[in-house]
Amino acid sequence: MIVAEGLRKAFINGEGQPVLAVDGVSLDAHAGEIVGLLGPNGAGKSTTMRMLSTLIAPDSGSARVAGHDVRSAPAEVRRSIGYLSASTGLFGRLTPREVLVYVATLQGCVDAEARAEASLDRFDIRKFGNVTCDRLSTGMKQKVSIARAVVHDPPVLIFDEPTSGLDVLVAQELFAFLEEARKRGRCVLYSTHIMGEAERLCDRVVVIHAGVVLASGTVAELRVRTGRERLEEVFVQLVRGHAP
Amino acid sequence: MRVLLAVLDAELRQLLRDINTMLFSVMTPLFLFPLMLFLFSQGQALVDGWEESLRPRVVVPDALAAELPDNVQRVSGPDADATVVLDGRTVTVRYRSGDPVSDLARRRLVDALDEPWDIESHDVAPEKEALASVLAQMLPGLLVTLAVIASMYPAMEAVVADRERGTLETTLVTAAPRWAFVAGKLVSVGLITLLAMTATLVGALVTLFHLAFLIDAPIGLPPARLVAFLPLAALTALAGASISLVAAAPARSFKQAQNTASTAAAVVMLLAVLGMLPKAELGPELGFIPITNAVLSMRQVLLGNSIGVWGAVAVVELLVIGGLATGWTARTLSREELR
Amino acid sequence: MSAAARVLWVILRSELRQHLRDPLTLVLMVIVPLVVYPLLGAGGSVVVKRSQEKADAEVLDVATEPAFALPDNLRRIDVPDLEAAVRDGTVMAAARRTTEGAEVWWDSREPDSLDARTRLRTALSKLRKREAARVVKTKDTMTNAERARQTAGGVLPLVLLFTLLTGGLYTALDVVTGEKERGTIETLLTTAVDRRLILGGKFLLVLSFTTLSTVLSGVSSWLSARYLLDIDLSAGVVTLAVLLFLPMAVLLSAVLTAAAAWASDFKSGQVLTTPVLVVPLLLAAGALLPGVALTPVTALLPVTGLALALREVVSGHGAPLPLAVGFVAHGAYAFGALILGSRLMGREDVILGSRGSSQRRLRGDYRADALTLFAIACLSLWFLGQTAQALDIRAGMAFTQVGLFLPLALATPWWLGLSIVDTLRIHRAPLREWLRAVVVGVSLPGLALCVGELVGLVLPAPSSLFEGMFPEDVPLWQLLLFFAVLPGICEELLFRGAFFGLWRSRGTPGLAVVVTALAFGFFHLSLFRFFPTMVLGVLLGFVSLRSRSVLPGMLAHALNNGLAMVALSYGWSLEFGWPMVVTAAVAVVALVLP
Repeated sequence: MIVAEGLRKAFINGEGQPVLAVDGVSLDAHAGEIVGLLGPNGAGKSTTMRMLSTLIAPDSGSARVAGHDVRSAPAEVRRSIGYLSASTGLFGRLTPREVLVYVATLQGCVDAEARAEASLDRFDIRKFGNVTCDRLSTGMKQKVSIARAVVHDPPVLIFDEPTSGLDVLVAQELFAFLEEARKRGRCVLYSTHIMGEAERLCDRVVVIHAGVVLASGTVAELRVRTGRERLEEVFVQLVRGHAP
Repeated sequence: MRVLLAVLDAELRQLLRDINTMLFSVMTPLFLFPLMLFLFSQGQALVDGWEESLRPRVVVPDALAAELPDNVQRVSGPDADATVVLDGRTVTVRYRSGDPVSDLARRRLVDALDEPWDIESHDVAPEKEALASVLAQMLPGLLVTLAVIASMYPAMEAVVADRERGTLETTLVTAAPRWAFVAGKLVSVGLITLLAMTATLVGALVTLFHLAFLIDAPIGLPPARLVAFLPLAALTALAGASISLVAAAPARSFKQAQNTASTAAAVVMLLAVLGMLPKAELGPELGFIPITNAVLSMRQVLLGNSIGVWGAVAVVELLVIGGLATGWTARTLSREELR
Repeated sequence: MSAAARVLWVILRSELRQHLRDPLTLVLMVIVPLVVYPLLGAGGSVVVKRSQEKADAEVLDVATEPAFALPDNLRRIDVPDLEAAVRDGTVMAAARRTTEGAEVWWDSREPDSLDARTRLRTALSKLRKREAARVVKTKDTMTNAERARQTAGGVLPLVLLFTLLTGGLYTALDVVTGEKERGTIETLLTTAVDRRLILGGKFLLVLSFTTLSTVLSGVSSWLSARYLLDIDLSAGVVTLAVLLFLPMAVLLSAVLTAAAAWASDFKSGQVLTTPVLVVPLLLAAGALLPGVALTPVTALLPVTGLALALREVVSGHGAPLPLAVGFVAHGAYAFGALILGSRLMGREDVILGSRGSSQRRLRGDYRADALTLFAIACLSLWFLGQTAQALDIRAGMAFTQVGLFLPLALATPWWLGLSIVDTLRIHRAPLREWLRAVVVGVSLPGLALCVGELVGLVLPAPSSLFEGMFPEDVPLWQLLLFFAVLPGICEELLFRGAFFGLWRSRGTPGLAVVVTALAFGFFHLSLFRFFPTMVLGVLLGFVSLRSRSVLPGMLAHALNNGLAMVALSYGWSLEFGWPMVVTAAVAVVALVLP
């Protein structure tokens, strides 16, 4: 479902020097699996995911999401993905119901109302469906955000550190939802720097550091490769081994 | 005290590094007066050039034809720009006031046909004060207005920015007392206001100097008066800034602050403009209106007159308003609950 | 198309819903234009009228010699010395009849004194009318109603424009810039919708609000003209005026949306949109200049053209052709602004608000730095250069050139870490280029004269324009040094050197020449000198472009100024004529030659 080849993106840092945020990242993810993108802060996780979601264009390299090229068919890519990150906000002056209908319509769903109603039930937000988002509590807003991202039931989910700042209970619901999505054959790309989450959730992990993929495979494979037991140690071993 | 200085230093640094604040608070007032003079002089030159290039068409009876100037054109016909009718010793120039060409024709005809009878005008004000009186009328009000506009952004920034960016927590978890942060913010807003006022003053004075050179008239503003005027101007600007500050204080977001602060600033500006009216006098009618009386007092100081009781009233009012507003803002800011 | 229209509608509807839930917006959109402005306007005019009446009724003391008939609001007081009495404030003004006319004393520091003087002068001219052999009167053939309509026609465009801008500004900032701050723009961008449609929906929202405020403001203007100011405007005329204004609403909504899209946060949006607020109002005020009338050509002027059209319609005349031209032209401008805006919104850096001068510099783009240099040069010229020149023209000129322009030209590449010699292009040039510079330099004054003549057809310059521009009684060698040699060297380094060198970093060299010439033209701070100096700048630019060096241009520039100085000091009158056209042609040919 996701195939990325040699993605590259440079930014200019505070001193006016170019920095390669992503330096030739290749990865793939298939239907019915959850792939974790692991890396410390500033590793290039977000940039990679934003390129895959067509929010920013890669400097070079190519990627196909759900069979569509991110450069030549960005609209089709966006229709096929559900994207969520800490910086995707909610419309404060709309109610959750309105947000869901709105986004579903923008995603091209003909049955936007029905999907919105279904999402209200699925994420248990019906009881405050008619309160404007400004007046919701943080946990409720987070639920609405997740519902917003998947209201059009896309085949690919791209979740960029979705648990940062997330309520523990909401996080559990999110994990349950992702596992269920996997069962229904969805492809999930999930970035995090929390090893416990990756261990629990991911079929495969891609470890990324300083814009470069250091290793990829199942958690078990990586244990064998590094000779360490706990995933934290595996991770540290990989990052230390790579002098940036 | 060291804490206060550190806070002030940090706040000022943040403000001065914000290009938007600098553009708005310092560059705008600096550019405003040169731009006004430029537009005015160019507009005047445009009108002059246009008028010189015109020869309005006029209908004039034969008896007066010899007196016509070169810059009008004698025609016969109904579509003339102006018509002169002679009846006994009365000459009537018929024109249409709404038509600029017709009005030009009237001016030229009256100049040519009316017998010269000079009314020589002597201004008993010392000649060097010709520009100073205009300056005295305009400068105080403009100074206050611009300083208040300039202080709006820093005021909003001081009140709202921390709430919006979440930096309030960062400062409140330090060991420094809360009043130091509040005071640091207030003082930095005050300093920016004074900076804006200085920029306005520099822009105005340089422009005045150019104007004096252009029309070849002396300015005649003794520096002593300017110096005497400065403390009052600074006090008024600060009081004006404190009003927009207190208006912004309860705001929860930048947008809200913008609305409340700009409304408050508009009130201050209206009061300042009231003091700029040519007929406005420092007396029982306007003498009690804050800001207005301060602007009028500044006019008197610039003219070299004493301001007496009304000046004292103005100063006391400014101190009371500024003190109350600042105190209230400080109270609002320090009661801020951690969210 | 229908799918796109549907998406647009969905976005617009959702934006509207969000916007209307903000009560503040409604207050700003409805209450302010409908209630506050008319009340302020009418209240202001009432206050002015009352204070005028009060001032007129106030009896002022004057002194006259001899006694003559005075109006009721002047009281005569006998004083021994007229001037002294005015000076010490015993009387507000004084007048004395003389054999040729009269003398009046007054005190400019005292507002009442101005009134007293005006009244005395009126009394004196009445007196004279009784005695003179001829009485000249003026009679205005316009009716009061016509005059009132004329005034209303002048003010209405400004009122409509102001409400349109304030209403649209707030909306644009909220729905475009505010989205960036709130992070919801990213939410919208992750949907399958084309980015331009998102902007389009927001533009439609801004447009509907600007249209609404224009219509409301039209209604309230009509009501307040009719019932508060007693001006008889027919509802049909106001409707036509508002309809004529619609392309303006489209144009300015597009500009506002684009400006708001360019801003990264609310505050910078505020700063960015300030020019959008000021420039149209200035342009509209241009329609109030005397002599500016609605013709098919002036109808093409952006904003000014429509303001003129509105004035014509309201004052009761207005030929259909210019009105139609104005309407269509503004429709076309609006379309252009929309295209530009949609291009802007497709850009990644604009959407995500990540731009910076260092980013541009890194890509070798120094155009923003060129503009900053220009702004600093203008500022220093205005505040320091002109002040110095006002104090002493020669020393001031030397200071401006050597003390301001030269260091600016040299410091800019140094500051940016570029090679001074290469940026300013201080290179050796072959003999042929020097010869070319001589020919061009000698024929430039003729060219400038031709351009001036052409410009004069549209913008006639007043005869006072060149008075006092150059000092008199200065020896020729000093004129040549201060007004030809120094500007030749320093202005060339600043414009064809530093500015051109930085701007050239992007785009074609030809474009850089033209932009440099535009800056050079603006730099002379005069509307009338703009075109001649700009053309001069174009030629000097090509001299330097062809020679790959800044040096020959210095020679040409100095020759041009020097010839003008020689002509000035020998009193040659430089008249436009065939010889000048020939010289102008020589300059152009000399540039084209290999």
